[in-house]
Amino acid sequence: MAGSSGGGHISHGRPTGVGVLGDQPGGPVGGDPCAALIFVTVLQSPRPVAVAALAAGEHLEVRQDSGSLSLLAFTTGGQIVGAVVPPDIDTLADCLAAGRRFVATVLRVSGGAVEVRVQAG
Amino acid sequence: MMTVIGGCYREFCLRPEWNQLFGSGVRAAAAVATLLPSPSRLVTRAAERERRTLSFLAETYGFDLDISSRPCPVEFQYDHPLTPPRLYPDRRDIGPVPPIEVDADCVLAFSFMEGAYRAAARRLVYDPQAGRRAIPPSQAGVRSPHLAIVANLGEARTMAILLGGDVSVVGHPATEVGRFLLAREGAEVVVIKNGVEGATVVTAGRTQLVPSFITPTVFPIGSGDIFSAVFAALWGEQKADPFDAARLASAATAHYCHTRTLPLPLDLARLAGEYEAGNAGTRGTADRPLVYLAGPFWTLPQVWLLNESRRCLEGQDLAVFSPLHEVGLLATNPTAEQVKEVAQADLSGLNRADAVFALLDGLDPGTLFEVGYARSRGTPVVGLAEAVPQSALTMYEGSGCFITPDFTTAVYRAGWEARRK
Repeated sequence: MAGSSGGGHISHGRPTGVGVLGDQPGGPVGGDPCAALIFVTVLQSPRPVAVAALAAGEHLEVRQDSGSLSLLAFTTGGQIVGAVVPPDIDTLADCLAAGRRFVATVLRVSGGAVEVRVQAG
Repeated sequence: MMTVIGGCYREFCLRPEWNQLFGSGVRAAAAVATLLPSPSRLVTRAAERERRTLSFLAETYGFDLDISSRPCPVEFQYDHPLTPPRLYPDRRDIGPVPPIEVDADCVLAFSFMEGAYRAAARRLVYDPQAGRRAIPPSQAGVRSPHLAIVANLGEARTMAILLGGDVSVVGHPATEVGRFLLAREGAEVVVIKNGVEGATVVTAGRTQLVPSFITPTVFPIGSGDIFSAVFAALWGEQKADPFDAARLASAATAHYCHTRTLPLPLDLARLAGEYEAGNAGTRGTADRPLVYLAGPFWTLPQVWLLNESRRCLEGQDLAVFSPLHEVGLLATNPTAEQVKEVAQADLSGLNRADAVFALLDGLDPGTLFEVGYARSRGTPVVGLAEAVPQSALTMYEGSGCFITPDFTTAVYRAGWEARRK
């Protein structure tokens, strides 16, 4: 389960999935840990100009910042919108390193904050 | 450079969805990244398998790391942010951790779930972040010639009791508890946070209430971390006036509660001005506002939610009129007289209410009547609607009800609405 801390946890069944690999009852989708990685988060360090032009339903691309561990969400025009902080970096970083593409779908834009659902694209 | 001593913990919440490796230490270090000229240093404990995520967070937000080991990760689980969190593993099962010693110029010191520490600093802000386990700085191993204590009212009262304060002191409002802590701990400033009531700032020569700000949504997990982080960055590191520092800390806290984004915006003064311009103001605490709790109580989940709502509203220092608890259930096959008695008793509660908190899921007929009755009298209504179609909300939103799918936001909003001038 998400953030497992050495056992003794309650298992939360979460149909929309904010968690990481193995959170959903039944385990990874088709045994693909990257496909099973679905989470909802708020973009960090949001860039006001890019956020102002966003609307719910838009798709952003999640990419590793060059020369850094950080993960950024880009518009289709290549503009940085903000940083993606997943519940657990391990699986997402490994999937990106393996060449998998991840998309952040904008759920809501409010008060300069952008809530997104991130999943393999 | 500011040093933050504090925990790194997994935070998991069902509603709203939240699953992050934060804790007081990480959140505070992330919060102030834009406010200080150089990155802050986070002194924390983490398990081996958390180090990669922690390094990722440090790079993303911009702070330096000084990690001591602990045997396993530690997780706080919330059903919603107003529930007392469950700790995994149990505190007793975390295992031994190495001691931490810090000697620095400016320190923000939180408590750890696991293990103690010693800290000395030229300027130090101490936030126990420990509820009823709060201990005063003199017993926590921290010392400084320029000490500030930031705590919520419950923690402040707990510390006062540990320092020998009698019931007549700890039962008093924040101002009295603050003065007691100031004198007994030799602090320069004590800030006592009290939810929607705001924060009371106490120094030797002056006491002032800093308001909390109304926001469209409220995510309070870690809000205290943000307040202390900003206060420490401004008062501790930049030697700002404590009252100005607390005002900007309150604005930063509101911003975080609404957006859940870090680091904080650079221009906190502008942010505070915007919040102050938008705040309609709230009444003082002389009288305890009354909230009418409207909702169905026919199934276990409904009764559970009703009880949970009552507990959380009372936690905002509100009096609650709940028909189930104040009037009770109708008898089986009631007489016309009994039906009238129950309805009149409920209406009497509605007539006295400063606000209505309505549980709208399921669109219970009694609840809908109560909402309409309240709005016809001009009584503010806060409605919790997680699974109500938008088309069914027209009359509520159109008549000025505040409708939200988020339980915690609804509770805070009810507190603000009931206190409006």
